[in-house]
Order: sequence, then structure tokens, then C-alpha cells
Amino acid sequence: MEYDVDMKKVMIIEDNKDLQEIYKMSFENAGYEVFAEMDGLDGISSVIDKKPDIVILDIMMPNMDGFAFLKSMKENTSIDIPVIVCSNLSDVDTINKATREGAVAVLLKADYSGRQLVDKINYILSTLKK
Amino acid sequence: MQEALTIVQNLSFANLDLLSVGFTIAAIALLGFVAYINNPKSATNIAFVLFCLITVLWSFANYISYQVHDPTAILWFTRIVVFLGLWHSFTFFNFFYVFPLEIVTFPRWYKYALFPYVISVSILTLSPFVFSGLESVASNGGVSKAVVENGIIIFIVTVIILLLESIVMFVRKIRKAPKSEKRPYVIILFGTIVTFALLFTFNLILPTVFSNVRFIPLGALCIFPFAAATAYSIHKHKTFRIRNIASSMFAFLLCMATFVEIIFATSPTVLFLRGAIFLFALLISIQFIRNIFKLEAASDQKSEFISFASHEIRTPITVMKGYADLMVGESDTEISEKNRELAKKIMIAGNDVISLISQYLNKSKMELGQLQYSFSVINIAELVKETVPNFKINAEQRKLTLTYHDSGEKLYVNGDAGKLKEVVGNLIDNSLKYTPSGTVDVAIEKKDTNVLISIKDTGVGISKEMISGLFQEFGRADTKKVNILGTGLGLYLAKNFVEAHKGSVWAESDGEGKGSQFYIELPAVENNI
Repeated sequence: MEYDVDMKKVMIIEDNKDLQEIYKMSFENAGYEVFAEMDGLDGISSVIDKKPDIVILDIMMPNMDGFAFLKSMKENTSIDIPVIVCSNLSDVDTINKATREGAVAVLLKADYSGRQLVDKINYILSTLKK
Repeated sequence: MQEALTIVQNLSFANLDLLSVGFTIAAIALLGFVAYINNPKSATNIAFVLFCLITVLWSFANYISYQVHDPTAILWFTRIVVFLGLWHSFTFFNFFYVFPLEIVTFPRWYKYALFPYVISVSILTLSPFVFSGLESVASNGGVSKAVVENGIIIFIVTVIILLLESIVMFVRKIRKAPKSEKRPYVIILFGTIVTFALLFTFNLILPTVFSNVRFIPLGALCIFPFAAATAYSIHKHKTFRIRNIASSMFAFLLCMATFVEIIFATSPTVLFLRGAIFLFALLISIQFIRNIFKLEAASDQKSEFISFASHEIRTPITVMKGYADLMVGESDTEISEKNRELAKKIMIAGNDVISLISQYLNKSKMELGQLQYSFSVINIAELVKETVPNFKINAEQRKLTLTYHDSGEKLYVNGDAGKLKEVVGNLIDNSLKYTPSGTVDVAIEKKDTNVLISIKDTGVGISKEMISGLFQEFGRADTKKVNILGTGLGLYLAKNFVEAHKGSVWAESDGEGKGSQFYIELPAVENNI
């Protein structure tokens, strides 16, 4: 699956070091400029600073979890960057809450390898551009 | 017409008023109790309990106001009814202000302006500025008429503003709510509007403007549409995260049956005995509901543990799959072809474990009655297109050809993307496992008003006897033909998921050794987003 992508900055907010490394390598291999943070709190300041084109966000994280990140982004910043929640929580409450707080899509992490996640993000970006 | 008016004029509410008060008090008290023990820390549930409590007090005071005979007592109870009427409107406003939040911080205008204002007006309702005396004292069981003063205007305006603002606020919240949550809110809104329309007509406009106090004894009954709509919403949609409302309603009916017996008591002894039975039924019901909620709490803990355990198991497997995928996709020549093949096997094993976890998780949720769906309009063609490559490596390893075909048309269904992805993945995985050689073809097309997904294989096929039991729990095709590992839950869950989408799933085969075809049919929708 290949889509045209002219936006190349992705922010990965993920507390699992291995997954962060996997996503980082996969997005770098696909030509993205990658920024990564370990929790929502660092994520917020980094998003304001780096202004990525898209954010990939975990939910269960220390300091500030994914929901609090989404809420804070919505209430405290005027930044309008699409956020894709990528979590291994699959319950409907998580999906509804993340969507309500402004996530563009909620993905089950286990369903996607690094390369598949890149394909999915490319697709989402292509639909958002329309 | 004149005759009809005479009948209405001569209507006797003997016993009916007590029944209506008892009915409302029992229903509202039970709803409040259930809401409170479900989640005593939730701001919404606390606000609902406050509203229920004021409703109960108001219904009780309203009943007492025309049961007392002393003119001073009548006047004071009339004032108390109006006093509680104001708090009734305010707790209602407060409920919709907080709804559906778990934690709330009230703004300054609420704490330092609205709340003191409501206290002031409620004190005013107890003063002679609202009711200065009695115009007429009714005979036993009738409703006396109070002398209404201008202060009543402040009360009426405050109540109208609070109620209208509550409804406007609630409508705004409904509009902002996710699609899946709108319906239960609309049901509550409907019950609310009916209740307040009745209260306005029979307990406010008729007595104050037309001096008609005839329907005041049935005032409590006006609350019933709200209670019924809320109970229905809780039962149907688990509003306030409340479950098992049916058991609570059963307890309510039991109490009511014993209460009706009291009303028709013919002697003090019978009244005493029936009263004792009513109290006993009430205590048993409360204990019954408490036990149910203890069981619910235990099942919630179990569900939370399963969800947490699934999350914890999924994460290392996601890591394992992720690294294996990097090895497979790595163009670096340092990774030999042999290692690349081994990495593919790790990926397949990882996918199998993730699929098993999902199946067990879904089965547990089904058993606990906690399986939920998150419906939205989804591009089903894109979902299938995205799912097929997940099985490319499986097909390669089995030396099978896996193909995907679509018409290029954008096809939409109203569905839960995660669950439909599981269904499609399950059927593809199934076909791959039961096909020793040949092809597995996946296709999607529009068929009349539906979307049809087909998965056709050249595998071992299914005998006619096997087809009928294929989608049952632990139902599976003949595993002697191929070496299959699995839960036997995949097709059972697929059927449940698809039926929850108002669709159907079925299998066809010309017999053993002649391949199988699996079909998923879902109602197509237009994408208006």
C-alpha cells in the first residue's frame, strides 16, 4: 500500500522503549523525520516545539496518560495536529473516550507491525489532506 | 361535552393519590439508590441521587399538604411544597449541568451567584410574600386554596429559567455526544419534557393561574415519565454505567405489589400486617439489590483483570512482531535469507497469539455480558484491503496464493471497525489453515443494498453435516484433515459480531475436498460525513 506523502514529521509518544525504537526505525525507513517522547507531559511541550504533521499516541503512560494529553491539547493549545491513538487497550470505553477527546483514529497496537503502521498513517494523512 | 366535564369535576382520587405517591417514591428512591451504589464517587450519580431525594421529599410533602386539617399546618405544608419545588428544579438543573462527568469543579458564578440566589428564593417561598394565608380550607382529603401573593412570580420565573436552561444545556450535550451515546440521552430528554410539561400544567399553571387545585394530589405521578424513561435508558443503554436495572425493577414491582395491598386494607390489624409485609419486602429488595451489585463488582474486577492481562500480554508480542517485521523488511544484506524466513515464522506465531488473546477476551466479555460495540460509518472496502496483507506471510509460508479483489468502489457500513477486522481476519486465517494447497481469494462487492465480502478457498471443504454446526461455540471443520491449532471460537464470535451489525455470515461448500466459501453480508450505508 503506497500513498503520496508530502508531510514528513511524526511525533511518537510511547513509554515502551522497544516499541518506540521499532516505530522510530520504521518511520525513518519510510522517509519521515521522527521525534519521540516517553510520556504525555514531555509530549505536549515537544509537540508545541516541533510542530509535527501527525502524532502517534499511547494511552497507558506515566506522568500524563494519553487521555490527559488529548484533553490538554484540546483545552490548552490552539494546535490542530491529527492525533492517532495506538494502544493495546481494545475496550469500547477507551475508543469512545479517545474519540471524544479528539483522536482522529484509534488503532490496536498489536494489529500493526512498524511497517503496517507506516502504511496506515500514510493512508490517514492522505484522507485528511482531501 | 357538558357530561364529560361533569365526570371530570366529580373524579374522586381516593386512594389513587396515595398509590401515585407510593409509586413515585418507590421508583425514584430505587433509581437513586441503584445509581448511588453503582458509583458513589461519580459527580453525575451524586447529582442524580440529590434530584431523587428532593423528588421523594417533594412528593411526600405534597401528599401531606392536603392530609392535614389544621389551617396553620396546611399553610406551612403548602409553602414547603413550593420550597421543595424550587429545589426540585435546581437539583434537576444541577444534574444536567454535571451530566455525564465523573468529577466536576463548579465555576464562580455557580457557587457565588446561582447557589445563593436559589437559597434566597427558597427562603422567600416560606414567607408571606408568596402565600400570605388560606383562601379556603378543604374538607378531609381535599386541597385547600392559599392566598397567592406577588412573590410567586419570582418563584415561577426562577423555576422556568432553571428548567428551560436545563433542557437547553442537555440538548447541547446530546448534540456534542458521540453517536453511540446519543440515543439513551434522547430517551431521558423525552421523559424529562413530558414530566415537566405535566408538572407545569397540573401543579403550577392550573393552581396558580386558574385556581384549580383538583389535580395536585396526583402531582407525584407527573414525575413518573422521567423515572420510566431513565430506567428504560439505564436498562437498554447502561446509562450512568448502571447494569442489572431489570433486577432492581423486579424488586420495585415486588414492593409495589405489597404496597397496593396496604392501600386496600379494611381494618387496622390488616393494615398493620400488610405494612409489616411491605417493610419486609422493601428490606429484602434492598438486600437483594446490594447482593447483585456485589456480584457485579466482582465481575467488573474480573473483566478489568482480563483487559489488563490482555494489554500486558499483547505488548511484548507487539514488540516481538515489530522486531521480526523489521528483520523481514530490512534491505541490509547482513540479514540472511534464512534468518528472514525465521523472522516470518516469529511474525506468524505472534499473530496467532494475538488472535487467541482477542478471542478469549471477547468470549469472557460475552460471558460477563460486557461485550460492547463502538459503531461509526467505516469504509469497509479499505478495512478488508488493509486486513488481507496481514496474512501475506502466512500464505507465503504455506505456499498458497492469497489474492484480494475489489471493484474500486468506496463501500461504507455502520460498524465497529475493530470487531469487523477481527471477523474478516478470522475467516481469512481459517481458510489459510484449511487449505493445504491452492488459493484463497478475498473479494468485496456491493450487492443490492448490502455489502458482500467473500473468502473462497481451494481447501479441504466442508461436509453438509459439518456446515450446520460450524458457527456454534467450539464448532470446527474436520481437524483430522489438517493439523490445526485454535480455540474453536473464531467462527462463533464472527457470527455474533456480524449479527450485532444486523448482517449475516455463512459458509458454502460442494463437499469434502472441494473447497469452501465464506460470506459476510452487511447493510451498506451512505457516507454523509
